[in-house]
Amino acid sequence: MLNEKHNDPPGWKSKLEGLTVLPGETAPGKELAWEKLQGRLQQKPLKRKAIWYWAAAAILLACIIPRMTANKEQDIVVKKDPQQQNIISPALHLRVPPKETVMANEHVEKRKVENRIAKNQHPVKLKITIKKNEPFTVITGTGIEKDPVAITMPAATTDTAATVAVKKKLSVVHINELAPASVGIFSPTYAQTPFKIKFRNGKPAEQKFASQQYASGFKIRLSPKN
Amino acid sequence: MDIAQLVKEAKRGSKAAQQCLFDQFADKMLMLCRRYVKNREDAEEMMLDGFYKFFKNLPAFTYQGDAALHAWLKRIMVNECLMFLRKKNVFTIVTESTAEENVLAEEALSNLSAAEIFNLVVQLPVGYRTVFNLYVIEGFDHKEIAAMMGISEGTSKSQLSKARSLLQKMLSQKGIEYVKRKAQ
Repeated sequence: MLNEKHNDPPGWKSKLEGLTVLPGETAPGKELAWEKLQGRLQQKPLKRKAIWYWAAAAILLACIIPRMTANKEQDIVVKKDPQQQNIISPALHLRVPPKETVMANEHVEKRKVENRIAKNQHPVKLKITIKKNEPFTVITGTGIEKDPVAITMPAATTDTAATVAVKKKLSVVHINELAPASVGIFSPTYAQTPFKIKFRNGKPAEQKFASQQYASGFKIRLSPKN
Repeated sequence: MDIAQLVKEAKRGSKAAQQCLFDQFADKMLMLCRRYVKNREDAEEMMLDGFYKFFKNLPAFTYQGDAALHAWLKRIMVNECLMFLRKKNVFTIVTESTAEENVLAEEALSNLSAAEIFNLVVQLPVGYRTVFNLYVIEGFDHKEIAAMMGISEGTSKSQLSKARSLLQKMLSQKGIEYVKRKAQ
């Protein structure tokens, strides 16, 4: 840059470089300027670094917090309306008791039943074979009911109670499926249709016995196969 | 104490040596800054920024003579001023045109004092003034100026040409006034 001929107006460079103060102007306060400069020089550079660290931390938080809140919102949505969505959320998984627990409960129930049987020493198993458009045949296993019982269909009001009692335990089989609507359980013809109940020993139950049993809350237990 | 000794002491962190160096160069550097930045307060700020960088980088500086130190300090100040002007975006970029060679009147120039030259230069528009200062006073070539200012070489030449034309006009007016003053 120094070798180039710059067509320097005569003496301009030297004149301007030698200029320290303009005529009529007061000399700049060097002391004040030096104090300012010294103040800047004594500032620790760590402060600047610290500012950058704080800024970086703030940016990081600003990035992370919205994501975290977004995740929480998603969880809430799943919890709010789990039935509408076919997808089972992890939260729902947690609510469902584990399979082992169910098994344990079943085991406990089995034990209870066995205990009851052992106490009564009269285990009664009722097996009901039902066919469409045919009357019921109830067979007892090793029951104490030695006499065969023929059950006639009870009145409509009683019937409903029985249906409810059965429904509680087995919701799969509905009595309306057993006969057409014309001979339904609530139709007058069907209500009068007699039922034959047989114990496992093959003897049919007497009507008297059946009615007594039913009146005192005779329980019919359907096998899971039905 | 000579400058070499002051630089040595200042490198070690001596506040007194640093203050001596500051006192020695502050006035000249302030005038340099004022040639680029018209406003006096801004120029003072640029000077302080420049000295701050000077003292911060002094330990890495190898002293090779007063001229080298002076040139380095000047370069720091010029860079500070250019940064300031770039931040303010005050450069006047004109369309490129063929640079006309304007030779300033030798006679008129020789009669001008330093303060008059300074006032003439300061009156130039910022773009012209910057290129004129960099080329004529500081001695940079157009390639360097273009790189420093972020403009093309042609623009730099054009700006210099226009600065010279404007100075010519101002000088002719000044010459008339000067003649008038002499006649009185």
